[in-house]
Amino acid sequence: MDHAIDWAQVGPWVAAMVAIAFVSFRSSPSLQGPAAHLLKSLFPSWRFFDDAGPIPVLFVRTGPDRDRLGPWIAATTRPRPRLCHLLVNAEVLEHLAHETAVARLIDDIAELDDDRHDTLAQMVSYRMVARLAQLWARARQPHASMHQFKVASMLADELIDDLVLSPPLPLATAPLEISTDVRR
Amino acid sequence: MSAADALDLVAALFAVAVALQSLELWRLRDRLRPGAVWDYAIVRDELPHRWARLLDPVCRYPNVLGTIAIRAGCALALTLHVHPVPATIVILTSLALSWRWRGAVCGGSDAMTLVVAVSLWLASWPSAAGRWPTIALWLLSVQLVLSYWLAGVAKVRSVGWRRGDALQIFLRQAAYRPRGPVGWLIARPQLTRTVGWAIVAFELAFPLILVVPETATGWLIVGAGFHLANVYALGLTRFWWIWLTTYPALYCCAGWLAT
Repeated sequence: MDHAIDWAQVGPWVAAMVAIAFVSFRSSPSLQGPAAHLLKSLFPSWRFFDDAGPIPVLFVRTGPDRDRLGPWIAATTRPRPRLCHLLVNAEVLEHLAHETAVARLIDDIAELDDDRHDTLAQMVSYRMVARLAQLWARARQPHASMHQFKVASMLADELIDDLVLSPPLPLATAPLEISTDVRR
Repeated sequence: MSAADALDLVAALFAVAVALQSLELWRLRDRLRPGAVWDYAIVRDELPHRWARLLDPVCRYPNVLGTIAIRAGCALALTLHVHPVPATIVILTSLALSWRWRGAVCGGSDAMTLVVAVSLWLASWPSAAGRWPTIALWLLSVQLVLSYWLAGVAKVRSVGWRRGDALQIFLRQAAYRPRGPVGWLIARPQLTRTVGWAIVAFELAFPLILVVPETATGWLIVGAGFHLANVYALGLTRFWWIWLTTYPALYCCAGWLAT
C-alpha cells in the first residue's frame, strides 16, 4: 500500500500524545484522600495492569473465644464464570470492589503518620474492611463468637507478609475503639 | 461515516453499557444497605459535612437505587436525542455513584464511562457548523488512543512486563481461577511471555491508527478481540462494553484523516 504520511496532519497528534505521556509520568504532587480517587475517574492516567506484584488480601479466622481462633482463611470468593457474564458481571464487580477496599486500606495506612495509628480504627477504609471481615465471618461461621482479621500481601498463591492485624473481635458486633497492629 | 451517525452509534452503545452497569449495581444493591460493607453511614464520614449533606439525597439508601435508575434512564434518553439535560444528569449521577463507591469500582471502565458521558455532553451543545459534535468525537478518539498507548507505555516501564512474567501474575491473581485456554497458557511460560509482549506491542502501536487511518477497521477488530479475551480471562465485562462505545468515534475520525 502506497501511503504518504501527512505529518502536517498527524504531527500535532504525535506531539500531543508525547506531551500528555510526559505530563502523566513525571513526578508531581499527588492529591490525598477522597478527592484524589474521584479525580482519577475524571482524568484517567490509563495506567492499569502495569504493576504486577503482591496484592493485599483479607484473611479472617473465627473461634469460640479469643484463645481458640481457627486457621486463617482468605476472605475472598473467586466467582465462577458464567455465560451471562458477557453482559452483566456483578460477581466480578463485587470481587474487584472488595479488592479495592482492601488495597485502599493499605494505601491509607501508608499515608498515615506513625504517631497517628491510634486513629486507624476510625478511618473509613479500616471500618469498611472490618465490616467486610465481620460479614464474611458471620456468613461462614455463624456460630462462632469471636473473629479476627488481617491483611497480608500475596503473590499468586504465595503469602509474602502480614500487613495489618486486628485484635480478636466479637462476631456479633465490631467495636471500633481498638488497637491494631500495623506492620510497615 | 458522518459525525451524526457516529454520535448516534456512540449514544446507542453508551445506553447499552450504562444499562448493563446499572443492572450490575442493582444486583449489588444489598451491599449498599445499612449494616452492609458499603454502608452509607461509614462512607459518608469521608467527606466534609457540607459535601455530605449535598450528596445525602442521592447517595443514602434507598435513594441511591433511584440514582442508579435515573442514570440509566438518562443514558437511554440520549439515544433519542443527545440533549444537554440528560447528558448533564448522567455525568453528575456517575460522579455521585463513583464517590458512593469511594472511587472507581471497576478501574478504567468507570473512567471511560465518564469520558464518554462528557463527550456526549459536549456534543449536545448547539452549534451551527457542527463544531461541538466534531470536538466531542475527537475528544473520544484521543482518549481511546491514549487509553491504549499510555497503558502500553506504563507496561514498558514495568520490570515485570519487560521481563515477561507480568501477564502470568495477573492471570493467576484474576477474579476467575485460570481455566481452559488460560490454564493452558499459564502452563507455558515462554508462550505467556510472548503474549504479554504482543499485548504491549499492540498498545504501543495503536496510535498508528491515526498515521495510517485506512487500517482503522483492523485495529478496532483486534482491540475488540483483546477486550473479549479480557472478559474471558479476567471477567472485565464492563471494559468490553464501554470501550466498544468509543469505537465509532475513532472510526469516524480515522475516516476523516483518510480523506
